[in-house]
Amino acid sequence: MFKKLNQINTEVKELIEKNITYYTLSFTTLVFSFIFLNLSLVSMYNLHKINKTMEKNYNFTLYINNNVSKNSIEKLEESVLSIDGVESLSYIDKEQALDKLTKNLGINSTGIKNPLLNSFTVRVNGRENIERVQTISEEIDGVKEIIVNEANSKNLDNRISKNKIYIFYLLLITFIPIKIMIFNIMHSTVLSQKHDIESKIYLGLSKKEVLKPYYFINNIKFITSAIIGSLIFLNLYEIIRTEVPGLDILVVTPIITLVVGIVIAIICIVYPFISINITKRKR
Amino acid sequence: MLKLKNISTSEKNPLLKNLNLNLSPGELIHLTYKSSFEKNKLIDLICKVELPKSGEVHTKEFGISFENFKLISSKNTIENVIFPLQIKTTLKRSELLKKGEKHLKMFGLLNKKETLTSRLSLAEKQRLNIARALIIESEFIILDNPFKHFTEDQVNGFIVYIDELNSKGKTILILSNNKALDQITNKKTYILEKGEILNV
Repeated sequence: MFKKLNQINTEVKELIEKNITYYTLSFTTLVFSFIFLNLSLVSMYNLHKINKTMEKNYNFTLYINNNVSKNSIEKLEESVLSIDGVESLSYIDKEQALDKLTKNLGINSTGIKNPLLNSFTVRVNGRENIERVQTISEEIDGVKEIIVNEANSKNLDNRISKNKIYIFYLLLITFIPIKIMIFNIMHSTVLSQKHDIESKIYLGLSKKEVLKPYYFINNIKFITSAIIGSLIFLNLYEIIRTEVPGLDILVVTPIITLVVGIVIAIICIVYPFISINITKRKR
Repeated sequence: MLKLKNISTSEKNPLLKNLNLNLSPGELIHLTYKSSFEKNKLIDLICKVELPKSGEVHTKEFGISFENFKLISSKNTIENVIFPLQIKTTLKRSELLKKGEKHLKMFGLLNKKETLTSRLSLAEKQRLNIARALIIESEFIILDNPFKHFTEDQVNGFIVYIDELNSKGKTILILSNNKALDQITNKKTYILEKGEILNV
């Protein structure tokens, strides 16, 4: 057993000595690929989160009859909140609304008979729920009228669909680092070493024995670059998120660390087995 | 030493078809060939890198030199020459190196023992290739085009050495089209043609 370990150790040493420049380049490429992979994954995740938040912002205004008592308004609020798809309600008192309106128009509100109604702004989760919630709400006692803010809905529609397009493009871009990684694995494990691997097999070593040191180097190189690349990315992400104004909307680092950590852990655990299969298939 | 019985390979147009060869201990066989593809396929089968579609390959342990050397580029000269010993024996490293040096000296490569194979000339690579085939001192030796890259003097010298080895009881299979081998009288010559081995 020690003889075999010693042999693998010698082989690994020889391979590293012979290919040090190549392995360094390959390692650097992998580190950058992981930074890029994490960047595109996190961008997709952030856009997805932003979309989820925006979807909760579809709203309509529900006007209440003037003759509805305060108690009834509370009951009405509970009824609307219990409708499936309603995210939140915010009550707007008609006096406050008049104040706001007159201030905006620059006129004095004293003596003006308030023509406005008490209302709720109802936030609904998703465009598809507006009509349904609206129909149900109209049946509730005390509701005078419902007005959907179409401009806001269209604006949200546009922003959500744009983000979806960005996610799609990012998904396509994500294939670049993945392709680089696959090429790197294939090239450094198999193609560049094909001659030596073949020679050793012809000289009587089994394929499994021959490939052991190559797998060892490649797995260590891949796993280390995955961890280093991801750590570099996470630190950069935290700096950018906290230091660049306006980017504090991004998902916080602990969550991203968890996401990136899970991805990297899966890659690191699964990769050694995949690499063996890829190499076998290629040979 | 080597028995190939009714060998056929699995290509669409099989390179080897119903091939038979039987090498008894102490024989020296010179196998000429028309096609390098067929010759290489035969080497693949003997080295068990490939399995035949039908037929049987029986062989005892052998040392082999290859036409394209098959030297390991990540290893230096001495590591290359001791490689077969490393995988086939349990000798200690000091013994391996001692034996390696002895063989390199025999083939005039001792001063290049630390040199990477990429820095050797073609003739030096060929010498290393043959030294590696002989280091395990097996009873059966296969030499695939061993005279390539040698000068005429080197070829003649090596033929004498082959003859000596054979007279010491080694079984030798030489795959070559080199006419210089005609100097050896106590050999059998066959030809590999159209996937079969025929008597000349």
